[in-house]
Amino acid sequence: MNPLNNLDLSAFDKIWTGLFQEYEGLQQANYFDKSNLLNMESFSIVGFFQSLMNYAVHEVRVTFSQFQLILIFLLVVAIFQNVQSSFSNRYKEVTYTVLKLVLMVQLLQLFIFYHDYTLDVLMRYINIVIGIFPVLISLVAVTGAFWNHAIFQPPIIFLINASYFFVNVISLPLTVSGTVFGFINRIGPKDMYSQLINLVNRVALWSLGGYFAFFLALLSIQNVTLSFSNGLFFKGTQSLVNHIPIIGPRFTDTLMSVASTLAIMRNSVGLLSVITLVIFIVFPIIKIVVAVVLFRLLTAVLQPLISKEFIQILNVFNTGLMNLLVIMIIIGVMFIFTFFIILYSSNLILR
Amino acid sequence: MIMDGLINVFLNVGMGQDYVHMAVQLTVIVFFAEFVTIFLSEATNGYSGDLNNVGKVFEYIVKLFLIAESLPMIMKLFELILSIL
Repeated sequence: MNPLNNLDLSAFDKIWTGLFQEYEGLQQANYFDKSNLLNMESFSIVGFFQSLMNYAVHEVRVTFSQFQLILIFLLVVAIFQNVQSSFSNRYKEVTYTVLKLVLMVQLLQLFIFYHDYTLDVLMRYINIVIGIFPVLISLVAVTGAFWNHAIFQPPIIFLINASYFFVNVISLPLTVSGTVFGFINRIGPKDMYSQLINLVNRVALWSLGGYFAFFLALLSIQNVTLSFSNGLFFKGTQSLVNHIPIIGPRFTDTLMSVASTLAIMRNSVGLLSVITLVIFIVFPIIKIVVAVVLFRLLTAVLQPLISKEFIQILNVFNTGLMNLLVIMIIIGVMFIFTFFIILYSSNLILR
Repeated sequence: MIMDGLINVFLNVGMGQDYVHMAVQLTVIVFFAEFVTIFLSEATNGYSGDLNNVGKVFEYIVKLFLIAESLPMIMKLFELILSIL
């Protein structure tokens, strides 16, 4: 009997149905077996990277329309500035202020779009982690890691929920405040709040970075320690049962065979979890990376043409977008590492 | 009319075209104001009457018009900031 048939993997089914609906490229891809996701033999890494490249090209096309709009707007402003310099400076300040406000409205609209997108993706990502974590930890417990299940699960669930708090209450609101302050700072001719904005942006990123370090340190230390406790407990029980005459050694041999077989299943489900998390987070990261690259390119292209004030406004937007990207990468990598550490340490038991 | 035609032909960027339109409009207004100011100063030089005050009044009117143009943008900026906070 195949034990995989009795394993409830409906959480994965829902996640993958959502992914297929969201990304057309995945629907058409043939680099993995869609009927049975545990069948890793048909997974093609080259196909996967080709799919990522196709998505990146698609995103470049989509983001280019926004890029083009702001480029044309700023080119009109550049022409205006160059012609204006040959006349008087009578209307210069007022017109620049109006044009800066128009640019800020466009960039803030874009920033709000990317902020909402990041928040939505991260909330769904954390929900996925909470959805598939019990499946993995149950399989880890079934293969003999009872201490992991009893002692380890409550703090991990608490810390995963704490990451909601870090994203929702600290990092993203501070990034938004930093960007809005940055725009407001650039309306007038004087630079008054740049130090405050730097502080806010640093706090937004460093608080999440500190949480990331704390989470992974706690996870790895506890996992390794508990794995050795589990191994000791397992070997101790095995030696004890071996002393029972006749049936003892047979019983422990059978138990070891079952535990080893279940370990293969645990590793395959763990690998599926990691692949699911990677595929879920990699597309949003590509989307934000493409936007960051295009808007940095726009800033670089326009720098010789337009006055410094407009470039500084573009830089405020670029910093905000970069912060969103860093937050997304930190949260994404943190949970992928979590699953890696749990899987790796659960394999230490039987060594 | 001519400006709309030019924008439609050369700057047809679809979404958000209003902002490009606004930038072109502001540019045209400012250059027109500069032209009128130069015209008035030339007229003052040629005749005995002083048109400086007329020039000042015209300058203030144009500046007020430009500030009025920025009001919808300020409102929009407030709306956006409130929507994200």
